[in-house]
Amino acid sequence: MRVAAYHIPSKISGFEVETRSYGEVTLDLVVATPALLAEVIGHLEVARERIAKRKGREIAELLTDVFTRWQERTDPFRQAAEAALPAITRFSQAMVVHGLDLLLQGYTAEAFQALLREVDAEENLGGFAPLRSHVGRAYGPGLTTHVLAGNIPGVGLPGLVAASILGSASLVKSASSDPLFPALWAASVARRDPEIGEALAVVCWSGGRNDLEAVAFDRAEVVVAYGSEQTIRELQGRVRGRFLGHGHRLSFGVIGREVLPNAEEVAERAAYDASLFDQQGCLSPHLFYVEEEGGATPRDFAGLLASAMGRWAKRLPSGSPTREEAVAVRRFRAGYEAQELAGNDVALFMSPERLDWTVIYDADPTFTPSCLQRTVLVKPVADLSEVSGLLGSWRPYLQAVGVAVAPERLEMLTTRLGEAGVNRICPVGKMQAPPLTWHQEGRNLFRDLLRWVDLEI
Amino acid sequence: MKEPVVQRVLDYIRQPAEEEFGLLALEVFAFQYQHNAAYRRFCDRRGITPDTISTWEEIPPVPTSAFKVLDLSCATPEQVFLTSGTSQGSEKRGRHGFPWLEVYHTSLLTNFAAHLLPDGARPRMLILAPSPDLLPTSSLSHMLEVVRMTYGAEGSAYFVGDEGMDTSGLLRTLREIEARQEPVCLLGTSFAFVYLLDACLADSSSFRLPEGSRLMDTGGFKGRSRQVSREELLRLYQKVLAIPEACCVNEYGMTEMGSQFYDNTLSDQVLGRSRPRFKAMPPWVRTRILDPATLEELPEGEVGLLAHYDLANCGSVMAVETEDLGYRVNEGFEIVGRAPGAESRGCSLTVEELQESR
Repeated sequence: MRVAAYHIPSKISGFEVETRSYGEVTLDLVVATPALLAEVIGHLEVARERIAKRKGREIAELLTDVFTRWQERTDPFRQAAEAALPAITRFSQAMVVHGLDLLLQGYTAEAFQALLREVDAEENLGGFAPLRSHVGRAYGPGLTTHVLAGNIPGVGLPGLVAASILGSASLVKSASSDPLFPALWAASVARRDPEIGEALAVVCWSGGRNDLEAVAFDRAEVVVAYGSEQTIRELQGRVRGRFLGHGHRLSFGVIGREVLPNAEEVAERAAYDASLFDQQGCLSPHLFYVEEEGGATPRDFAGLLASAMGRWAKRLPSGSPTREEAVAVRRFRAGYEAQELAGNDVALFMSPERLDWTVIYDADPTFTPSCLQRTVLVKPVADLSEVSGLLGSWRPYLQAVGVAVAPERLEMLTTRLGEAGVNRICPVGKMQAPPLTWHQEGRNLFRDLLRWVDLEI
Repeated sequence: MKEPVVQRVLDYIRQPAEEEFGLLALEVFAFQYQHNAAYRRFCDRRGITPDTISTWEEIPPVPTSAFKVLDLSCATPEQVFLTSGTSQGSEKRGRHGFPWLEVYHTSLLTNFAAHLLPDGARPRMLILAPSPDLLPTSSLSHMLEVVRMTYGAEGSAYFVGDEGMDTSGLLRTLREIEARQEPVCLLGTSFAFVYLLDACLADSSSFRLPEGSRLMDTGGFKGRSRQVSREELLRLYQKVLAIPEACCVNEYGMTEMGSQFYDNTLSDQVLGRSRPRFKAMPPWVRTRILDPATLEELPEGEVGLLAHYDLANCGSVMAVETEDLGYRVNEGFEIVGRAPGAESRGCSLTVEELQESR
């Protein structure tokens, strides 16, 4: 199959298109040039003037329609994504289908309403209006440039949605590892509302092209970027406007002794969190701290988790790792196997063939990130109150914690975890389905996009 | 006391009969299974014993990282080498004990002579690496010292000391050698060569080292000097030292192995052959290229994980699974680093990235 993996304003023509093949799938990509990007931005700015007059609520409603259509398996955009993404992203077909459902279910009418309530400034977007302390007006960015990562389809979508609701035009630099999904999404918005579609552009180029990025960043009021620490640091220095960088993060889980009589069921949910998207997401748990003296020992729990990982690998098969990723998993496994053979209190559970999944029980409670590709550590703690003390220097990188504890222990645990630097505490089994209003990295992306003008006359 | 199987390995290295490799490898495996408790547990986990396999390819390779944790010696070592551990930060260093250094030395000297001294030369050796006095647990330093003592002409010396590289001493010596038209052999780490080249480039000096001069470089840069591609290094060796490409031999070795690999270029030149550059396997080593996801052997030309089956490792584990990627070329292989610009896919951090950023 052949799909267009770009979206540019309809009035632009005469640009060059190149193809990139992934087995049976061929993508058409625009050959980005500084001149083309400048032309695209010119059109986006014109389109932006039109949509800036529209109400955020109205845009939110039509975006809800867009997402509702995507949830239908017969929708042509959805079908294109399902057919092409496995080859492009290396995820299995079943994972792509399940992942899209999971991603899209978050964009409901209620979620959009909650998002609008969250910004708490709706009336200030249309004109100067009283705030709690004074009179002010909020403006969305004229142009927002989004630099996306390709690890999971839909990463970066909240930023795109927020920018659109605020009447901003968006230039998206899609990731080389997934140029397609953002382009399909933009095209699906254009189908629903051509005027908003004209204020969106999706182009892919390899990161670090200074000639292109100078143009893409120069006129952007805000640049939202996802990527590795190094990428973020590097980009930050080249952005003149506001920079909202999302570096790599890691998540983990905490399991209290009181839920361990149901260890098998908890393990099932934990395995789901760790299997989804082959652990490529910042919400994927690297390890689970399990409290001692419950119905099952932490070591038993690791065994149950391993069985559950095996079951999930049948329902949502693993994708194909890159060579480097496969080597990393081998190295990780080998290190722990050697420890086990040396008689350390370590147990290695792994898929019998291939590198589908790995579970490691390690009595050393030191916080240890995983090599990913469905590799999970299980570590014991005598008491859950110890967990926050083990996070120490990982603080800047912490994202979500999946928690399975009795309600009466929640307050103690959440207070400590909050202080330790995490920004989302949710049930085990729900780690990968954050609400649209999630304060990713402890920030409010929607508010971060706004620019305020205070009126003191 | 030397075991009979060790004597057979020595005999084989001295006079290889390649059709016997498989049988001898299985014999070494049986010996190691019996005398190496950690390796036996490793094999038992995989359901493999000397009775369950009939070809050398079925011998289970031990990942190099196991050397960090397990004692893999088959007998009391005469010498223990440690991995440098420089690229892994605080991580534990690997330990490789050699119960029979005679095997190590025989492999080393036979192979070195074949690829660095195929013309029978015995040049003066200038060594751009620390001596074993400075780094007693380094297999590289030990190796260079054995080579220097066996093959190095008078005046062979080390140019790395407590204070780092003695660049001015080295430049002075090179000038003398140039004047006396005496061929020389430079040996050292790649980053030390970069220091030397940079020092020359900085004041636009260069040398016309006499014909017959050669060099051996080894290892990566590990952040110790600027990163230089192999093509660029070869160009600079020619430009700054006047050592032609074919006489520049890269060595690939690791503490976890008793044998090393060298580029084929110099031996090919002496033998009047012309082939692309590759790492030649000595007759007592076989290298397999494995799919990292399945550990199955890959077809010719495909990039995979390198696993070495080295008879000179008869005192520890003969089959070693590395973390290096490469592909087959002629009767050898070529190594590829991490694909340039290949960022990991995850938005989640990997151990490696975190270690880099911390």
